[in-house]
Amino acid sequence: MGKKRIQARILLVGTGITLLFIILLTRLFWIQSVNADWLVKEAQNLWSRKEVLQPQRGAIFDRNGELLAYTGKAYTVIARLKPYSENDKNYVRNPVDVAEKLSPVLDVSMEDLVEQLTREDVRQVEIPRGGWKVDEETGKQIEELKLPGIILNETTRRYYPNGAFASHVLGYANLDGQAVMGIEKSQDKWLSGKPGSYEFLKDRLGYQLPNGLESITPAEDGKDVYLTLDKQIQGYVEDALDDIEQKYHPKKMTAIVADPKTGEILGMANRPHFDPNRYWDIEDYSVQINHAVSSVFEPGSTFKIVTLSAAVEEGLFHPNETYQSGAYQIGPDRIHDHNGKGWGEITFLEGVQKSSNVAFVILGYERLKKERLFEYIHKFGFGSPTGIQLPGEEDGVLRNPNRAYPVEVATMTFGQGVAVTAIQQVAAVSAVANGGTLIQPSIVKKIENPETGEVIDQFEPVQERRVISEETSEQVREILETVVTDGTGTLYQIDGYHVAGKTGTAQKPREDGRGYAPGKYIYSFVGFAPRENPELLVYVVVDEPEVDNIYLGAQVTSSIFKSIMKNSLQYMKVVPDMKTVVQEKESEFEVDDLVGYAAVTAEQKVLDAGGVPQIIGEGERVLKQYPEEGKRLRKGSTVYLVTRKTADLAMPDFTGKSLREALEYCSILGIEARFEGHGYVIDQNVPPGSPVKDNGELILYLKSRSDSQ
Amino acid sequence: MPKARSTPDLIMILCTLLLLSIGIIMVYSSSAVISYHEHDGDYYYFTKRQMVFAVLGLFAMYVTMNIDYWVWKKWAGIGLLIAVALLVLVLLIGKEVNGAKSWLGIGSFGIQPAEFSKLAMAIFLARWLSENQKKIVTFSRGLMPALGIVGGVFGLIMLQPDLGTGAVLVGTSLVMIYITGARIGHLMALGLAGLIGFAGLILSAPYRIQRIVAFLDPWQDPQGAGYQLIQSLYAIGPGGFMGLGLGMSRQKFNYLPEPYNDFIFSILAEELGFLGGSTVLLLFLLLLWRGMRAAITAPDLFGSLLATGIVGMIALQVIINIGVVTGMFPVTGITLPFLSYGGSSLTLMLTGVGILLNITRYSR
Repeated sequence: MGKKRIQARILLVGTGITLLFIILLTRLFWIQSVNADWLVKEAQNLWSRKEVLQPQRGAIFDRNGELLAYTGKAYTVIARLKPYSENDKNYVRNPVDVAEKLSPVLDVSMEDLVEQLTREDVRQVEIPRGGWKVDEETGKQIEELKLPGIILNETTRRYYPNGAFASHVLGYANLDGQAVMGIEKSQDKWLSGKPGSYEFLKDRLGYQLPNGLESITPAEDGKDVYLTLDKQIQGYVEDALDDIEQKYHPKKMTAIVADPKTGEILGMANRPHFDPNRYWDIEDYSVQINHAVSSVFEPGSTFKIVTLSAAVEEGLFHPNETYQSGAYQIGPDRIHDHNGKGWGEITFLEGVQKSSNVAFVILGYERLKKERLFEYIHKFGFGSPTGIQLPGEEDGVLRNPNRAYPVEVATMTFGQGVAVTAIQQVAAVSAVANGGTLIQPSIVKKIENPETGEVIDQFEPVQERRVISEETSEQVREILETVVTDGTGTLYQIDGYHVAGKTGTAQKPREDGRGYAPGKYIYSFVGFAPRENPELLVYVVVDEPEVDNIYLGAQVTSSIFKSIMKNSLQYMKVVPDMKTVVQEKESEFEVDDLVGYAAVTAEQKVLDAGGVPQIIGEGERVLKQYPEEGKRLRKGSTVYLVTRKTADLAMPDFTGKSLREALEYCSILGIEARFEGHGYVIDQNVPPGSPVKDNGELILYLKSRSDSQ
Repeated sequence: MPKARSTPDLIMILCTLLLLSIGIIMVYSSSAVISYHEHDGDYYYFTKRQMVFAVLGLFAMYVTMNIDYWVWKKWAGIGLLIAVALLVLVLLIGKEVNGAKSWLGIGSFGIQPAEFSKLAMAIFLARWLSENQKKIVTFSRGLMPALGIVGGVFGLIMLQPDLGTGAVLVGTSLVMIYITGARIGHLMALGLAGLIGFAGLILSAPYRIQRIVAFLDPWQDPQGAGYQLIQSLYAIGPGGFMGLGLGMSRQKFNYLPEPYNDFIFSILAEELGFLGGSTVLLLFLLLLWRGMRAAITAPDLFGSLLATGIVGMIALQVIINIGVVTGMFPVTGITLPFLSYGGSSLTLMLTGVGILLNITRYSR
């Protein structure tokens, strides 16, 4: 082939190459001009990333600015399990060694740690639960261990510096930052703040590219919430409840301290309770229930204040008028006083002091009548939530007046057949104490901007309505003071102050709804002081303390009430209004010689001395007593009065008695008894009523009360 | 035949040096981030190595520029034998990277025998064709032996497998055969057979089918087969006419895998825009034109064929590489001459240019 043709072919190849290059250039130009906008838009989705900027949650303070909850630094523990590259030495090389050192610091078991640290499926792992959001101190400890591959990621979490303190009021925000209950939940809109955003261009791993910032909207931090609680008073409440819980293990307890003039709650606590810092340890979620607002119960005698106030307001109560106590007949039903037989013909004032049911049936059922009684119950705020700024508030239960049987209306006058919340009781009695105005109870005082100190929202007392007149209020206060000085409330006297109040001992309704459970009581007391110008109101409810008898049950509530009221009055520097100091009632009494007395007289003498009489046998006169004359006993102790010869006695029913009571009983009767189990008697092998003699050995079966439910 | 040699083609030298410089800058720009992460905070890991390769390559170019090109005739046979031996060796003891056995490792450096075989084949064919020019018009005694040799080497390369390099080798060889004077009819028939064979190869390996489908519509499988192309287009498109500015690429931040390698042109087009991209293409075109001129003005057929072979090799690699990153061809691993990171590719290309430059010294 000739040279020319070869050259021509080379030129042809060159032309071909040139043409292909022109196509490449065209294609490049096309992508970079025509397709560019669309590609930029598509790629933007890939590059752009929006991060939420989390706001700092507001803190919770008491009325004096004492810190109750705040958001602070925390660390999440991360273990790097695999190296980045060959030279990377910062990873967990010896899982067992690392687990051994971390286990005590994190309070996570070795097993769980080793399991996490030897995972094959991930490059790194967050150590769950125990390693998630640990506090600063734990973080420091981990840092000091200098473990290769263990990394701390800084984050934030909620702290409750006082631990299990006002836990039902505060509630908690969980580690995810979600408000779960209490003030944290009800004030979440203030506390949570507004998240901001941060938009930027990222690389494939999510990091911001150089010059990749698109826009920033800063987060708006949450606001601080100031409560009406007073940390000091709350402390008295917590201490009093702790003390009783330790000694008597009641099923549950509630105590509320309020300023009756403003409706502000100064203290509120329940048992059982929990530590919001470690909410995940809660096994039984019922401990989270704030019984003060979320539990309804039969108030019992404390409810009589409502009936009394209504009767006074309507001019139906005359203190010196007399009536026949003991029982009241309504159709087929008979309502008894709590001691069963009453006190003969007594005045209405005495009736109130002795908490006579019959007195209140006359006042409420006979004189006020159904319509007016219901009207007052509603006016006092029962049947609807008070509106306190706490979540989960209950309405309580009132009977439908159109369907209520007369006897049901009658029992309502003394607090049976009506269900209320503790906070409703506090609001109602506050109205009686403050001169007659129902005020909405409140627990949030103000909302403040933590940066500027500006008060954003201030909660003033909300006066709902006038319920009774000033005069009525004053008269009822005086009557209630006599309950404490001369009636059922003598245990509740406080040195230096006029205390007014009302006791309540309510039998618990049976769980099957049929009547009342024997031996199961809710003890309560509501009282305020000083009587003339009440500064404080304290309501205490104790459900089934493990005590031997009713008298001791009342001592439980009185110990709570007195320690809270006395400490708080002194802390608030309330001037004592009583010049003559009441002598502290003696806590012991001496047993008189009772042998030979008529059984009824002996019984009264024991009661007057402060003991609890227990008559054995149906004889007229006391033949034998236990303990002997001259013996000193703690108040509330039982004095046994035997009225029959031992041989003639019938086997008593031991059910419900404590081991000690049963022992005493048996020794008096001269019965040999064997005990199985411990706690309270639930059964016996010899049926009650059969003759004591010739029955061989008596076996009593006991069971602890806390086990029985 | 030998006559006094003149100065080599200065325009060609200039184009080469410009492309090489742009290449080093772009290797740095595109590799710095990845280098930092993968090599303990060293931004310059790839750049330093590329500069060593460039120095080695320039040295090789200087040497070959001063070796009279016909000397290669003597070494053509041995050269091809060595190339074949290395290709066999790489199949036996080669290092497998990304599913292909292409590397012979020597310490931290590795060489790719397939790159070497392209040049060896060009030299061998130039000699064989120039000595058998008359036979090339015949099918059995001319075309078949030539194609037999080419096919054998191609087969070895496809065993790795490395379709891109194989395609460049075959394409270059066909251009040389065509220049020598093969009949158009023969070549057309061969082209048809080649296409069928090529289709067969594609259908035999599922990943190649995926790549074909991916190049037709990359958004069908954006996280899989279409990933690289989409990422490449996300680089080139937003670059626009002026580019984002040198160093301002976003796609090099782990979006585009190994952006300093086969896809270096995407990053260049992203940072320097159409302006930069077209400049590089035109520099290549100028270099190729000067190569064509050398082929036309070479004093003998061996020189013409050798020049055409080297020019065809460079041209095909540029066309295929840029065709791939702009979505005109399915993704095949092939480097962009002078720009892509890689020692074997760069030194071999510069050696080729050195030979080409020597030919220009004898142009009439």
